Amino acid sequence: MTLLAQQILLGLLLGGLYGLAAAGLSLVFGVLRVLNVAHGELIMLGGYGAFWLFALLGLDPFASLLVVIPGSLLLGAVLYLGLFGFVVRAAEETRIKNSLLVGFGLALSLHALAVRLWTADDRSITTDYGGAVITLGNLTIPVIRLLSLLVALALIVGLHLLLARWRWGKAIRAAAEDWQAALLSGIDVRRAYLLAFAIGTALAGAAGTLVSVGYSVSPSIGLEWTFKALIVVVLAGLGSMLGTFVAGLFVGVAEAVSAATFGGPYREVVGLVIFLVVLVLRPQGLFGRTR
Amino acid sequence: MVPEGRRLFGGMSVEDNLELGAFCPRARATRRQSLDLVFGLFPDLHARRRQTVRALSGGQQQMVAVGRALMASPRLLMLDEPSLGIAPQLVRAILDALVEINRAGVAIFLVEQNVRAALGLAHRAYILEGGRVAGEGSGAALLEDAHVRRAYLGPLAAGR
Repeated sequence: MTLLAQQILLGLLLGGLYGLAAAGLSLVFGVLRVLNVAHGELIMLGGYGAFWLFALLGLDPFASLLVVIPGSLLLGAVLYLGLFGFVVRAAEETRIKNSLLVGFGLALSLHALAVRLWTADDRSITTDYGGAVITLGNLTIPVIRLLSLLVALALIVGLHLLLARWRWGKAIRAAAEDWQAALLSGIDVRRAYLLAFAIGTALAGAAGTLVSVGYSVSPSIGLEWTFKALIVVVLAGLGSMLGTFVAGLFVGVAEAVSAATFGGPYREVVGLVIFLVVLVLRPQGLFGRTR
Repeated sequence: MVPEGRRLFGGMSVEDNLELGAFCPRARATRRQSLDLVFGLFPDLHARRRQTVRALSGGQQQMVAVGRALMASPRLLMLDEPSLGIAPQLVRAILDALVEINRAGVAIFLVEQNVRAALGLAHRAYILEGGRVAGEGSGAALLEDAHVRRAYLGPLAAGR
């Protein structure tokens, strides 16, 4: 029983990262109608950013968020202007197809680049408080992962407020709902797209930082994270960032429970099962807006 | 510009929709006055300003659509079929608002199939049939025109 509870707890902590990883993907998908399959690679880059800031400069991984997030924003802006900005010019039906091509190309390139620059080794950040745990009855909570969950939650709440209150946040939501009407109202839709993509990339960078500190990064983690994020996005539906986060927690716990009851290999299966069940029963997702 | 079918941001509040109408810098400068103007024209919207647009009736949504267009402080307001799918008494309210907007100095370009109502408002009107201008003149004059009465206002109006 304690074992199961411990697994669920760890699943919850990991699920927070799933939620954060998915929020960026969901934002870009919901607003630009573009599926960025290189999202996991952007997470990987964020992880390496934090790793090198720690290894070379000794910067604490949570402090390095203050560098990684602006850096990822910038990277996102560059990727939008250089790649995805061309994809969104296409009619909406062809956007998805083109974005898959561009995304896979980008994912392969970034993967190869990371292997070349940093070798294929697993890397992770080990801080001096890395082993600290909080004991709660029979449960042990790794401090770092708890901190990561809290940071992820804070970022999601921040994102939610940004979209709800900020002028451009509202413009982003308007462009997501009806870009032609947004254009008619005098909103610079391309700029809203650029901002949404940059913010999505920044969320990926932040998620990567948290992955590198609580878990590990290697050049090949990208696809796995894209997958996890996609499952969470499908489960949550588009349009609600808080809902996406909750769905992330759910997937984390579901994985942990299935791993604990059926054995480790089934960890990956449960996500795919969720994916299929949601698509069949509730294609708009749990928290998605209906159209 | 008020497009056919309104094209509002349904998941957002009335206030947000109006604010987005005044997004460009020129309109933003005067958005407080514009907002007062819109709420003055449509007091209903003020009471419902925090509600999601999707939860409003068609007529109220049309008011939001007109309001959003007004937020851009336009010199010319274009409306495509504002009476489409709306309860008759609300059509009246919207058309009355148009008259008021016009009196305040905004030119109005209205495309409308509700011929009697549209001609009743218009200073100048054009009848389009099959893509050609089939008649033009002041709204009042066209209302008296025999062809218009026969074709658009029904046999009773034509016989009178």
